[in-house]
Amino acid sequence: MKKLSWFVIASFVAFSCLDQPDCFQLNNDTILVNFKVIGFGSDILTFMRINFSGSDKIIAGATASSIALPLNPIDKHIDYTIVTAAGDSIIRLDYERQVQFVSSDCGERYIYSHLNVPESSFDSVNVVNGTPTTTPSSNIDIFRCGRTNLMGITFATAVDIKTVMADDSLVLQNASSEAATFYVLPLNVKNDSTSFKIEHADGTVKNLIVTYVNTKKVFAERCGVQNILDELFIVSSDYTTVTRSNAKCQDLPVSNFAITP
Amino acid sequence: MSSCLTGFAQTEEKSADSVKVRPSYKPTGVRFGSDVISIIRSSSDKTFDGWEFNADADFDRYYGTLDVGYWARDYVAPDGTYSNNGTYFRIGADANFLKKDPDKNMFFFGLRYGHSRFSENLTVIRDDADFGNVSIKLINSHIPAGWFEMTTGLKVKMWKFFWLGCTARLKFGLSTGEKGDLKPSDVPGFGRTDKQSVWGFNYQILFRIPIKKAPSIPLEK
Repeated sequence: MKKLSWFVIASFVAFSCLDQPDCFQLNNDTILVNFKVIGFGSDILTFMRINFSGSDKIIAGATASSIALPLNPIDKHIDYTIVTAAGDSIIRLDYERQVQFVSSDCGERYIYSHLNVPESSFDSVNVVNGTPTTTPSSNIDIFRCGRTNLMGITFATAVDIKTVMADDSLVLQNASSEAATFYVLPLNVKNDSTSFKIEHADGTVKNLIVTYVNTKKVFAERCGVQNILDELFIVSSDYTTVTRSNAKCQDLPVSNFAITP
Repeated sequence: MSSCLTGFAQTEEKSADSVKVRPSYKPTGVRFGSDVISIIRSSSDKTFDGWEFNADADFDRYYGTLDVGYWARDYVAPDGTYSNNGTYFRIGADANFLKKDPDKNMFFFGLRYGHSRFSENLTVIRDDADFGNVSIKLINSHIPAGWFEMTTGLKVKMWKFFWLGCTARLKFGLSTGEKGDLKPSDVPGFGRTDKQSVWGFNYQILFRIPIKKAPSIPLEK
């Protein structure tokens, strides 16, 4: 009888520990795409919409440095079309997709892996992590060739600039007549200096001469030979004060000089 | 009389205080039985159908074990169905830590290797928020699976040839041989595949067939 009682107790333990199905994971069906500039860092892309194959849905326009995109549960590939003011860019993804039953309550889950990019119209694409995670993390970096000659100037107070001439070429025309504190002006990559003639909305014209060290570099074959402009220096200015805050041109542009009008 | 004493001396080592018996590794009996939990689940759980037969044979305090079974699962989900079925076996050994029990009752620890061959199929019909109507039908046909187990439990003689046993098993190291797009979710004999290790329990009714009389353990002087 004593032996039998051990087994009665053991049976309660055994039956109480029977496997109880549970929802155990979400799908990893979303990838995170980052926009970057070759040779520099993060980029900010303004797009009007993103279409993707196999769906009538679109991703609404936005300005962002990264975006989450869905993967198709039916096919093992998907095409994304990113529509910007400059035109359409396409990226095609291939991947492995497995399906696994979870439970009667949860149904099935989709397991994606082995992301790769067989085709793209971007300057460069890199697969950072070929296996998406259940909460989106970086999977793909999309690169564009950098614009290496952009100088940023910050005014202490907002100014309304009408036009800017650089070495006698019109480089900026402000049609909106809105005052701003930050302006981006292109430097001449053919020379080691650029002369700016800045016409303000009140009719005043200020001159600014910038010198720099001009070095050629190849960041990527697709971008070709590019000019790296460093050691920016204001040799002549009609403004009250000019202070250098960053000696090198960047993309995305940063403030290189702080100006008191 | 003197020859009996001589014969007795050939299998024993005499010491001043006790008599030791040299172990014999020839089986003294074979046990056969079935897992009760599988039988009860088959009648009470609409999603499960299965059975398991167990057998072991003793080699002194060590036991060779063999389990053979069949599992089938049948699930209905809001957007589809899943079913699987297949057979499995486990082979291994136990060590009995009740060394001096005259009835060979057991408290044991053991190891197993498990193997299954099974088929499964999944049907999904649902509306995806981004991609519209999703209709998927996937099949795995006669795929293999293997795993390892650590076991512990009791086997106790109730009456004459009738024994009861309970076994707790920690299953781990699962590998499956699927080649398609359907990832196994339940392996017969192992259970759910979403965890690195899985606990299982068996509750056995066993019958022992004696083969040979076990050597009696002499009383200590």
